[in-house]
Amino acid sequence: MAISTETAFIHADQVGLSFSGAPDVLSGVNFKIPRGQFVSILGASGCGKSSLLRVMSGLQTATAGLMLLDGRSPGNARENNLRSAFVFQDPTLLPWRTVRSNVSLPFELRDRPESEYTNNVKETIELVGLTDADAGKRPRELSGGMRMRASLARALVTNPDLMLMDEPFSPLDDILRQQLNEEILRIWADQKWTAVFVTHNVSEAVFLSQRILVMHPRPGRIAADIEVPFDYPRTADLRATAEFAELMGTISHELRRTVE
Amino acid sequence: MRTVFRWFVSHILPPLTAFLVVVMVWHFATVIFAIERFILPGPLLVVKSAVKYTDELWSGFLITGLEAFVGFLLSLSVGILVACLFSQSRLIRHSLFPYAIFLQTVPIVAIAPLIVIWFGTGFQSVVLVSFIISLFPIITNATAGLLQVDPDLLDLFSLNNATRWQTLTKLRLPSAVPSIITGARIASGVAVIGAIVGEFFAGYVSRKGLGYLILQTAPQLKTDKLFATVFASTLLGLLIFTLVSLIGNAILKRWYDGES
Repeated sequence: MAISTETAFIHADQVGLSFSGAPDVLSGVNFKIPRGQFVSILGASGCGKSSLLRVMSGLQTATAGLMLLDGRSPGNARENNLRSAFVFQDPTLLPWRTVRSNVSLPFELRDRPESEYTNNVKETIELVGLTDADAGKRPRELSGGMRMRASLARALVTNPDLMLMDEPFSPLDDILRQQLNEEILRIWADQKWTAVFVTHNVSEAVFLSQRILVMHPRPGRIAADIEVPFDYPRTADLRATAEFAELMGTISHELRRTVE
Repeated sequence: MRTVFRWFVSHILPPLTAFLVVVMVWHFATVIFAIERFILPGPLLVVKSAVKYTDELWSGFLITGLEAFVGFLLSLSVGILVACLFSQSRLIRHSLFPYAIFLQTVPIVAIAPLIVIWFGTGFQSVVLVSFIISLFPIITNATAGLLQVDPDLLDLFSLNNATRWQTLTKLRLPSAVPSIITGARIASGVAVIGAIVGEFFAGYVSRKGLGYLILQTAPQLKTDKLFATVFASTLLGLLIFTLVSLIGNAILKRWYDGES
């Protein structure tokens, strides 16, 4: 899959990240992601995959090389209305606010008038599978899965161009994780944002993505760039196919090589 | 009904029993050892004196209560403002915090005469003493609360291009509410002590507060009246502390649970 620089929505060019007195976190990371692609970054814990996501979001600046979003630095892109949303590993909700008011936060911080976003907030909360009654509750009253749905709603409500997700489903049990995987694909198919999904779960990465970047630790770098050939829409049945199992095997093997 | 009864048995009965035992021991000690009433009056004499001087004690209670309350409100508002300032930069914090500690370490009896020289005797000086000694717990607790914010939430705010002001009002202050309430609870008790000590130096004949009464009664060897005044002071402290705790708990409940 040859992609020219012009069409690359995200372009990492020899990206490195290091802090004084510590070994490099990232070194020589190269990839290009076209607009609308669903990409997973797969790696063992501590391989720098979350740091790479933070560099893409602009929360951290690369200390070497260049990270470009739509041709600009991530910080610059964010301040110039490139809508990127970040989903944290924990739901990261404000405990004193209801779900509805948590989901409204991105608009509040942009000083938008309430009338402009109430409908959007309501629809997005429904989209992630929460009821109107849930919307009036505080995070403490919700289950872990519902909190994560609220966190997704807060990211989706801004109608993002780019969704950066940092192991969002890893604290959830397997069944719930699979359900949310299916739902996130349904929403992606509809909205077509570019997705960068960080995970250490091979099955999750294969099920979700069009492409998987396997990371090698110490320092973090891309060890393999693997295309996932399955057609969308993908359903739960896909997980039971021989092709799915075979690809999982190949990728698990790649992943094992990075830690041995 | 049952729950009220159980609450009474577990929360009211034990301290009430302890109180009655102490009063009994006190009573019989004064009778058996025939202690002079100006050294240690028995509980009956104290009650009798409290009844006799009810008007004087009640008006003292109100006067000192008002001073302590105003002092407390001042330290609450000024303390939160100072803490907000401290939360804005490490430099500000490091430059000014040593002077905040000064509030805690300066012996109030040493600066009370100064306050009288500058502001004269009367309400304003008593309030000032109460304010000065109750300010520190608010500053330290509020500052700690404003700084102990979930780092993911801070990232969320910066990803949404939040301004400093938005981060303070929509994230730091609400996060600090539990710490501020802890500080307020400590400060409320201290404010009463401050008002009573303040009256020792800056009390005024025209409106006698409890501190002034203590000072006036002690040399007259009316020990029973002195005891009654001390109990009135204790009750005042207890009342303000309970009031602040109840309000604090109500706010915390609204903050985290259920529909607002």
